[in-house]
Amino acid sequence: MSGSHVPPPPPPPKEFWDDLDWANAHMDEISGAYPDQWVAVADSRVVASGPVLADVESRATALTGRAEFPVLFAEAGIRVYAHRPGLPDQD
Amino acid sequence: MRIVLGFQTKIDAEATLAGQPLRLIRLMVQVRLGTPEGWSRSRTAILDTGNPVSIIPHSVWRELALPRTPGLRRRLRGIGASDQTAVSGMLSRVRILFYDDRNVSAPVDMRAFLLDDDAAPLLIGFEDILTQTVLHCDYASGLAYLDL
Repeated sequence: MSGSHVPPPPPPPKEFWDDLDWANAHMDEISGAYPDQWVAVADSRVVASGPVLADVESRATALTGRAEFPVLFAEAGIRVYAHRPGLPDQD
Repeated sequence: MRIVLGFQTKIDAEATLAGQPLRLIRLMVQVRLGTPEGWSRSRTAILDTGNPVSIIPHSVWRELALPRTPGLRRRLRGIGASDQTAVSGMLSRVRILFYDDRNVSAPVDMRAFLLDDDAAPLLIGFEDILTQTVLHCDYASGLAYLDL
């Protein structure tokens, strides 16, 4: 099912966690500026944003040259996600 | 294996202006998902005990190693959402591992809905994860972790 025969890579470096801490601490401002968008954070700032995660990652990778950086969904307001059984299936 | 989780706390500005301060708190976890070559880049997920099944946005699952047989297709919606605004996804199986800044868990196989787009974040739901791990959550002390 997957390439998990490959050993898991180690956790990302310290700069990743620093940026993740910064993003979580500033999510009020981030979600206000980029509501319901994906945001990539590097060096304690938003370096790319948009509705498509893959595009945001590509731009952030090109801008930063980093292999790993936090990418978060900047939820606006209160969002509830749920799988509700019984809804009709789609074709 | 103990994996430390993080809290993300926002303030609901409208509620605060109305004199009823309200925090919007998320429990966050870092994961990697199995790809044909190995493991995905680092992904930030919401650990959502109210979600029966995990949800994976399109940009994340499109690079994963997935079973060849198509899964059950369902519409998904949250509180108050209509059928028109519901997102849709296909049930599949993926391999996932959890990590923090020090530890990496063993891989876990889980079922998840693969969304048609990126309109929702990566959510870790109950089935196959919280059914076989222990979740400790103490917001007041700022400590949360999964024991896998």
